[in-house]
Amino acid sequence: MMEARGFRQALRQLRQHKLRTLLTLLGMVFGVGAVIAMLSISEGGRQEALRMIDSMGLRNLIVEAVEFDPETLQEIRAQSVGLYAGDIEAIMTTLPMVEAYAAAKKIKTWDVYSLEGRANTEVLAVSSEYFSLGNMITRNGRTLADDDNRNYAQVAVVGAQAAEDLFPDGLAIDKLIKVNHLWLRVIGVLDKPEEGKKEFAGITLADDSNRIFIPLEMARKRLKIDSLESPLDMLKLKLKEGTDTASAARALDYLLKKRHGASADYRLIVPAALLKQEEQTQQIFTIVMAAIAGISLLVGGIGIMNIMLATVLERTPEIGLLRAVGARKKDIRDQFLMESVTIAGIGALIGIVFGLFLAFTVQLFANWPVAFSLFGIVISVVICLLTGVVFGLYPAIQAAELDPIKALQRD
Amino acid sequence: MIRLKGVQRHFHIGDQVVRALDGIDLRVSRGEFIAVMGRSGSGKTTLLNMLGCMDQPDQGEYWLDGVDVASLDDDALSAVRNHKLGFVFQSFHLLSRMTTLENVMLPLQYDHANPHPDAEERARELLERVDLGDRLQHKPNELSGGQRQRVAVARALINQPAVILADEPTGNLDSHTSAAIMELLTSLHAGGQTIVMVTHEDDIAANASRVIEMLDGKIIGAGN
Ligand SMILES: Nc1ncnc2c1ncn2[C@@H]1O[C@H](COP(=O)(O)OP(=O)(O)O)[C@@H](O)[C@H]1O
Ligand SMILES: [Mg+2]
Repeated sequence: MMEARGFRQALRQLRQHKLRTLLTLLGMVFGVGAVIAMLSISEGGRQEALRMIDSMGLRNLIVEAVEFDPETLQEIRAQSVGLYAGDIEAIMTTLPMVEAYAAAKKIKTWDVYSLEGRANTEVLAVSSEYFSLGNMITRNGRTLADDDNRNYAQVAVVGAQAAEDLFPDGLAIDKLIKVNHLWLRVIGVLDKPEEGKKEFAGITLADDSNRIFIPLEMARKRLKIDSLESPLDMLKLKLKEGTDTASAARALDYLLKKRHGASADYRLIVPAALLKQEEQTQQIFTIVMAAIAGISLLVGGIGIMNIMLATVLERTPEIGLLRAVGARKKDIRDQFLMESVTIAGIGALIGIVFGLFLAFTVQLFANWPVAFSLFGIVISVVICLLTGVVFGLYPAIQAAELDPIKALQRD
Repeated sequence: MIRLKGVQRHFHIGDQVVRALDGIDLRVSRGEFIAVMGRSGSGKTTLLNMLGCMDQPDQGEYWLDGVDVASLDDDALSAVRNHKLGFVFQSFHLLSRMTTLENVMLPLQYDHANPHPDAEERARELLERVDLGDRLQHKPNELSGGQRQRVAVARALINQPAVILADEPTGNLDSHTSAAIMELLTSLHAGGQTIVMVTHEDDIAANASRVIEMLDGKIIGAGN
């Protein structure tokens, strides 16, 4: 009740000096605006990064075959055949912390179609564990099983986008698709993954939605694979729970180095390390943000203090009168504090709107991911209000401590 | 109602001492209308500030309506001003951003002890009583000097004060409007209101029921 009236009085007071109030607000508005905009942008980037790291699996280690140009490839192949089943065997027998593995091989395609449609998709030959390690689930049907590999079954699991292209009417299970010269029966359609960026920290991420998955062993047997190609393109290793990923990664690297010699035809990716890296980047960003926020709030706060000191001077006779009719020191102090906090609050609100506007403009034109950071907004408002209190306190106490007699005489 | 005993108030300026009040003894009974006279610098305003609980004696006693004022802290003094006193100033002291009605209601806003749901109605009545019933929503700068002072009188009355303290209430007004203000104060006095008024004009003081004369911080004479 008291607060509501104080707030109304403060607003009225500020309306009397629109330009002055506006100028005071600017520092706050730009400060908060910049912080909100940057937070929204960084939050967007962070969520993207985390989602991608998460999709790689924090308990996984990933080994990728490096691609070379044709001439270098000749030389490399003289020393190393690339990533192949022998590596898996060596890993599974010497590294006890590896609990499971999944292998994948990109198939060169020149033709992928069904009787109902055509798709521009990637075909991936995978071992059966590929789906469980990637947390991939089917919308219809099932994923590949060990038997499919053992029996060289001519079956396929298709991603959601690929299924849409190949079978526009929506029914895909048990229908046939043709990959190069080979007819395959669809046994499963994958769930649609979240939309998102496809590259992070130099690593291209799979868009499983536009892929067709076929049994690895079947592909090796029935599809022609160039002898210079690496037999496997990707190897995903799942570590046992509680394993230290860093030391597992070191052990794996040591093993692979020994097997592949100096050819450097593989690359090791450690999602957990990427996460750490991302967190560090985030931390630096947070510190920079806090510094910017701090400086702008300081500037805004000094502006508020300045305007409030001027206000106290200007309204000295009024303060004397209020004291004469019974206002306590506390009442005077609170009234002026309410004004400075109101200025800060309005500054924060305008700043937030301005910042979100900036962020979404950036998203629109630069196509960066932007996420609305509720935490950032709440923190901004709280800190702005605190700034209003801190920088308004000195002028408010000055006002409260005025000698009422002298204040009344200053007219 | 009011009792001052041996009240002293000294100001130290450098190594000089100004005895603004130098041993004041004064009794004011309920319903009295007192005019304080004396030449400039004699201590009239200091006395009124003392009576108004805006200042406290260095020495001596001050009893107001049964309360020992000298023993009160700042918050309690504020409460006494709010509950028992009404001020009228030479320069009106209305808040320019507020309407007439809001100016009159203002003191009740600081009465933390009691809610005043009828504040607006009372303010309206008082403004009618000072002949400003048709100026409720006007701002002070839309009123003449005499009208402003009448708003100030209405504001002084809103808390039904034990005493009204007026420091040269007609000092900024021409003789015609001064007469109207004095008529108003006289009618309040006739209604039983206790008033202490500072003035240096004899014809203004003539409205009072008792005149006291000050010189150099002392009361040198009292009469009717
Ligand atoms: N706050 C103060 N500091 C120093 N001297 C003061 C102060 N207030 C009043 N005085 C002095 O006290 C004396 C009485 O002042 P005042 O009560 O204002 O007289 P009056 O109202 O009768 O003209 C004057 O000499 C004045 O200069
Ligand atoms: Mg005076």
